[in-house]
Amino acid sequence: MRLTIKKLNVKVENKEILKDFNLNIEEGKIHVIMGPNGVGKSTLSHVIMGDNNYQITSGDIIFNNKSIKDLTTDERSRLGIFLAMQYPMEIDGVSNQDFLRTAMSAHANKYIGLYDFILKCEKATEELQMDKELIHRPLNIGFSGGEKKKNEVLQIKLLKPSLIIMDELDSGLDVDSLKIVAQNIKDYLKENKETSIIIITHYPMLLEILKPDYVHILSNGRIIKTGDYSLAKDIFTNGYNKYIDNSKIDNKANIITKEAQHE
Amino acid sequence: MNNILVVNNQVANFHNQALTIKNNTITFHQSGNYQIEYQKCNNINLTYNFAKDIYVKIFEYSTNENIIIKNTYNLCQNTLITLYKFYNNKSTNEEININLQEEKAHINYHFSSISIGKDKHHIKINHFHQNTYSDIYNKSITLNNGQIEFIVDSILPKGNKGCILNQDTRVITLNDTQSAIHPNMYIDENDVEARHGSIIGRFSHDEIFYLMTRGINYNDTIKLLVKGYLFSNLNLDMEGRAKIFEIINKYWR
Repeated sequence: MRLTIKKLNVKVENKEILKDFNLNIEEGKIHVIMGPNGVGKSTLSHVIMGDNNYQITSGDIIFNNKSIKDLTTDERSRLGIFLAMQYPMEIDGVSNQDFLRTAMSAHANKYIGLYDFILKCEKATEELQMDKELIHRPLNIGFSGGEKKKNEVLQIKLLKPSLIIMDELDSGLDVDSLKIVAQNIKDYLKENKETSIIIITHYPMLLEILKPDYVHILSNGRIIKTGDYSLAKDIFTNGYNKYIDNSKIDNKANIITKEAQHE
Repeated sequence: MNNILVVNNQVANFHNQALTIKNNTITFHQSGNYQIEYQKCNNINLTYNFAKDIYVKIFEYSTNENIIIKNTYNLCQNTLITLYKFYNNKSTNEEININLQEEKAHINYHFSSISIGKDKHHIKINHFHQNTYSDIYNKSITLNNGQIEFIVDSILPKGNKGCILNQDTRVITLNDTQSAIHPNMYIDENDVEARHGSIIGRFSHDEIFYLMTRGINYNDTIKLLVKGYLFSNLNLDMEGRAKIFEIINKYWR
């Protein structure tokens, strides 16, 4: 898997959110996007996924050497991109089972039978220590915050994406659930070494377990600093002020963005 | 499940000790589950009478051409009726009278439809006695040339204390026609619990986006939402669900 975002400019309701945004993600790497609220982190995740509420005015998104800018959301998903949402939708009447089977069938491009589904689902729910009853309930209705997030990870395990975007997956999870979720992601990465992850987070615990390769600070619609895990640790201790006040794009960030431009 | 057929506007013969049928009047004497299907009908006028102290669950199903329906439901003391209805007619003009005649009569009314023509539903619930209860839920989808109008009148005269009146009507439009809901509560008594809700709208962008992020294409996403929306109002057995699946599959292949 390889994702390259080149000079991407994105508008929402005539407001520019991402400005000449560049990012290059190689196979098997974990990237973290951090930044204060409202700088465009969730916008980035929705734009990669093709949410038509966001208008790309220029630039491109290349996934495995193919532009995905003009693909629909479902097509991007079937290519292997998964967005684990901060607030998974509650949809009354749509059973979790019906939803999961439909999604699995779409990815497999064939109808997934009930027996096959149950086999795969039972194993995954056990590993996530999920209540099996949740499979039969309407999608995310009456689920706790933790159950909703586990249900997102269940979908990862069933749909097997090669690029996972986690938009604050760790919010709403208690410590024990977070450990289970993180361990499941870790195990998934062991089994699927080509898979890359973009983590959007405000908290350290998920990163402590997953040990990211790159940490980026996003401000005013672009990456202003890139570092390794130690950058995240510094932010958790000292906040963003010193980076944002001095928001000249640093060399490391430039190296990555230049690589992206040469793609 | 007991299947009762209404063919050419007449209730077909049906032998069961739990009920009697005479001149399009069906009188239920005992508790039970029934499916009532309208076949080749264009003008139906039925009366349902329910004896006291019984629980009857009915699934009414209609996929006809242009149809006029005038049905009356009379409930006696301590009777609980759960009515599930699904229509997919070319056009419908329906008048429903629900008469809660004695204490603790309770109607649970769940109507769902896929509207493809001009549909009008006038539902009148008369709380003729104190401590009577009505729960009215309508969920419809408009498609192609479908447009739908609901007039729901909950009527509570003075002196009938301790009643519960509840009505909730929702229309999802999958076309550009106009639909209307008139939720009316004529309440002349202070000792009452009443609630109403009305929504006309579309499936939300966020719901559609969420399902599509899982690889489900737009058509299948809408189909999944339609199924969920309609079935969340209909608690049916496999046979009933299969009938509605067939209709859904006809519009969303």
